[in-house]
Amino acid sequence: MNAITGTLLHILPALRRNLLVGVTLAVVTLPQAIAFSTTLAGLPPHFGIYAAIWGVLFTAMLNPARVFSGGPNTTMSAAIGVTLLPVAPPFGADYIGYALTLILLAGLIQLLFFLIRPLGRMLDLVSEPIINGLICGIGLFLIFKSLTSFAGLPINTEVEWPLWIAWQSLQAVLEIGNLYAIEIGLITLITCLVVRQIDALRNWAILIGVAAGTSYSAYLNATVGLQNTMIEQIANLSSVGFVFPSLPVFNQEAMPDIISILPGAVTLALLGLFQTVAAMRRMNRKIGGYTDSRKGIFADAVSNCLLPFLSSLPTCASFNRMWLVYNLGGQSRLTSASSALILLLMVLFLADLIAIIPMPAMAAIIMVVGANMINWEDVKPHLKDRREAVVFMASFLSVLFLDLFGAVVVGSVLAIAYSKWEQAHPNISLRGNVLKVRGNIYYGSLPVIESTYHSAIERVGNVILDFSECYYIDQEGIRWLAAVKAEQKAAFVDRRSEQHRRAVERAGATSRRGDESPGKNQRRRRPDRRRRSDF
Amino acid sequence: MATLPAKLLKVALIVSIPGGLYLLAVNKHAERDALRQAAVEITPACKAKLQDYALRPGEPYRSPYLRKMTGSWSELRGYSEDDVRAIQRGCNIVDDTQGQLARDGARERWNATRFSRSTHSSCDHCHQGVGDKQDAAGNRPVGSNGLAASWVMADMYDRFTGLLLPYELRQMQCYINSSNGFKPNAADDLLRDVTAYSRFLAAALDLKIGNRYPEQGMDEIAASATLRRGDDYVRGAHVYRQRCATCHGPQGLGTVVQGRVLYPALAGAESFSFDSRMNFARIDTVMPGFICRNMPLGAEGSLDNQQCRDIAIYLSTLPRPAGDKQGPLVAAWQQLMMTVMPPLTRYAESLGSNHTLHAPD
Amino acid sequence: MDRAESRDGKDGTQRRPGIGWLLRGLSKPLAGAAAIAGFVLWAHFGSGIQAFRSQVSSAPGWQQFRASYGLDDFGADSYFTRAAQNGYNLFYFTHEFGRRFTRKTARDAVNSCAGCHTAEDLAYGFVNSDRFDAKLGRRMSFEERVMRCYAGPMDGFVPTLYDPAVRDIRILARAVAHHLQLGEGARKDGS
Repeated sequence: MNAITGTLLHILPALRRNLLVGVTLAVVTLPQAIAFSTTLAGLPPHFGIYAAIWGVLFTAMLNPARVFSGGPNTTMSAAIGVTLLPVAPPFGADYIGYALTLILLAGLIQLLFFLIRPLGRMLDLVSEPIINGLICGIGLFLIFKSLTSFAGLPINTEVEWPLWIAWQSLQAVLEIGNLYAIEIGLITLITCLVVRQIDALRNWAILIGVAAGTSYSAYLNATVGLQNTMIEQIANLSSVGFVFPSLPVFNQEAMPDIISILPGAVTLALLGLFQTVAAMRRMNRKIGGYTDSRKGIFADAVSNCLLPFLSSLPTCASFNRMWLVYNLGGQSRLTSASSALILLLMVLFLADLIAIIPMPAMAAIIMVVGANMINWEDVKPHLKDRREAVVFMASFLSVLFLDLFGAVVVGSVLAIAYSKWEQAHPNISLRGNVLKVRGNIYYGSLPVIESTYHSAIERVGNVILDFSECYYIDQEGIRWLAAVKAEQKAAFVDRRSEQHRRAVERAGATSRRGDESPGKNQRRRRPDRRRRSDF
Repeated sequence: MATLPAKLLKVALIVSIPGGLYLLAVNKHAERDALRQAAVEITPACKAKLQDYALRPGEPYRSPYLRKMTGSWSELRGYSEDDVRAIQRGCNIVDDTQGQLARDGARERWNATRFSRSTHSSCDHCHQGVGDKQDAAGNRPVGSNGLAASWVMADMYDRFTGLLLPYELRQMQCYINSSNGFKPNAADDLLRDVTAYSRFLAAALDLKIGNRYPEQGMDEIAASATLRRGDDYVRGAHVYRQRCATCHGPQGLGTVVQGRVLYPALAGAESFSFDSRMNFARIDTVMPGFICRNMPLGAEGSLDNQQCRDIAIYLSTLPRPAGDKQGPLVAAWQQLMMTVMPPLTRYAESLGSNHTLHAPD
Repeated sequence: MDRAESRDGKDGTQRRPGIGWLLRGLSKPLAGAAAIAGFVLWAHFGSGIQAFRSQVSSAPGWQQFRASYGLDDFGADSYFTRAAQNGYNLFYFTHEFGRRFTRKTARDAVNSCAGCHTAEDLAYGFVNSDRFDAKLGRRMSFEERVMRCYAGPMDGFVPTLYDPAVRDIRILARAVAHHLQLGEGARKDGS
């Protein structure tokens, strides 16, 4: 009995705290969820809401990370919109069907990333500068993209290059935008940004902004009349209940369109996984824990395979929300789960209120969210190192000059190129006639090593090749070493030399690799962190 | 973290920048409204066309064209002054998209040039006769791309976009592809006025919604309509030199005299893009159809089907802008080719040894 | 399960034969996934809520409408016909098919466009649209009129320009106008 009361005493405060955090999370998520689905994905609002309910709940169930928050995501919503605009008119039944198929396909592709282990491991190569470049680029893209709905203008169909079109959109806003819409959008935007300056209300800023915009819109409706303002609103949510089952389109006549959206599905899958893996990685490091990213992939993949059957946007991890939960003291997945349930209640009881939220206010929210994605504190470190700066800029610009698919491809290629480039340039030093190689000896780095080696041979005649600090030599490297040995111009030093081992032991460093000969030192499975410490 | 003055400054910025933009928007809106109300200075071709069709404010509208062709009047709904101005502006845009005949070209044409990278393009180049081509007897030639016939057939399924294509979206495609430019917004007066003009033409010609009229679109020419000797680039170049080069220039770069486009470019930076349906490499029936039915001006129908296809394939091989769908790499490559190739060719041919393509006439 | 998985690679025992390695340490997530899948199945088959389908559903009277307005002109089944059919549904059963844009329900006396207009009104409205409206002081497009109808008489919300809730009404109007062989500016009194 005592034990039970003890447990209860222990649990109740935690439960209360989690509930409180859950309320905040729900309040932050709800306007965003609606904005993502309506202004970015071109889907009715219940898609975002269900993603904020079921997406959050499912990922919370499947992802064991201590602090984790899935749910609707800007980038993924934008990817849906960009992919489907050329296929069907937004908000229509066809469009919704294709959106569901697109999400399902993305989920299946994500499942492949889980089932094929090396594929999932590749995601770890997507470094922070790449992710941050993508995020910053997409943030800017979102601001451009929401200009038209900000001014109550129809969204032009067909894919467009955002950077090209931004100037045109701005001028259209200024010249032919619906002035009522612009007023509502500006009131939302200004309120939101001003409230953010007050630290205590920061988390409520978006909600307060939306409330201000909605009140003004309601005032306009009362005085001028909706028929004259022509302000688009979230519209009737009466179809939204506890759950809304749906079926993706998959039949013969939809086949050409499904095939044409496949690149979009790959983009969607990758954008989700990039963010989940990066967010988990960052969160791990911030709170000092470790959860395998594979679990995140599994949670995302399964959720995204099932969410299209429940009229929901796809889900992926959101670092910002996770950070919010962590800072508010939310400590377990219970927080996410409670936020989902609170959201469900809010939607069931506040549907009439949500219905009159004007779209320009939603567009303003997207602008704020987009601007938030460009975080100078995250970007600054990347600009200090030249190589990182190049990768960051390439990834950033690729979003603005290519489409999202192009950006994801560039990001993936950059990831691989970056890590290969790093490996292919071992640290080579020549002191006297000792040529010391720190790094890898493999086909990629051999030309670099060879060029130094041959110039050294020419200069000093006889070289001692010290590869005691090499930690990886591939077959080609071994053949080259054998050839060098056969030439008898070089002597080898490796870690087995007694002197070196003693020096290492004296320094207190224990190296397990020391007693392996280079020939046997084939590729071994070793976590990344260890490899880093070798430098 | 931040001090109070700093925060206040931030708040002031947050309020003043969007506020300034709002004032700018109000100002621009007022400017537009004034333009909508202002009397329209109409181009000569439009003046003639609209006079012929007796466009004036008031009820009802009776089409003289109908009277001439059928001998009967039909009483249709008349136009208000606002409608008449919109129709006049629409006609101006079709006749003179670049605004070369206007005093303030950009303003009077709703900034049409902003949506067109090509400095040559004008709707009238493909939609001849200010979008309503007629012979002396008033017959509308087959495949002359009439705007009125196109309006009554709008909203049909379009295989290129996979959409039930509204008239506004169809116009956007003209701006993107044929003018190698950008999409105006669907709510822009630029599109709405051209729609108003097209609808007026449909009223004047008494076209019925959803009917197919022979002047609508191109009279496409497939390979099966030839003797199947193959679409020959060399033969095309030869015919081009004889029949087209006098107006469009030896390299298809068009003729501009004193800043006025007399004949538009068929290749190079001022031409239509890869994505245009006029590009033979994309659709191999449209351009030949256009040439055979509408070119050379005044001698329409003098080229045979094979010659039209040959000219079209020749044109498709000349460097031209990439479309948006090709991505920035192809765009950069095409830009390079458009910049380098014409002067290089001209220089090489001026050396005198190689006169295959551009023999002096 | 966390620890077992993260130690992977250190103890060198991860290469088990078969697919066991794939599922190792995943029994709990798999159970979770199964539970979620179960929930989804329940939503579809057990909840009694009708699932969303993207196909146009056939509302009463369509076959007759289709025959009397010659919609087969545009194909027995085609993009256009389907859009027109959706337009028909929206026009005659707005409270049901245009639910997002109206607060009207089955209980209201007037709960569809057809409450005030006939399909032929719609067609005449279409060929007379894009004209100056003296009451509003500006030129009105057909689409804007439809949007105003949703917002006003239907006590609802404004759809976007390209929303099928607007587009398909226009396409229905086009189909009917074609059947009636209307031209621009045709007047209903036939004069």
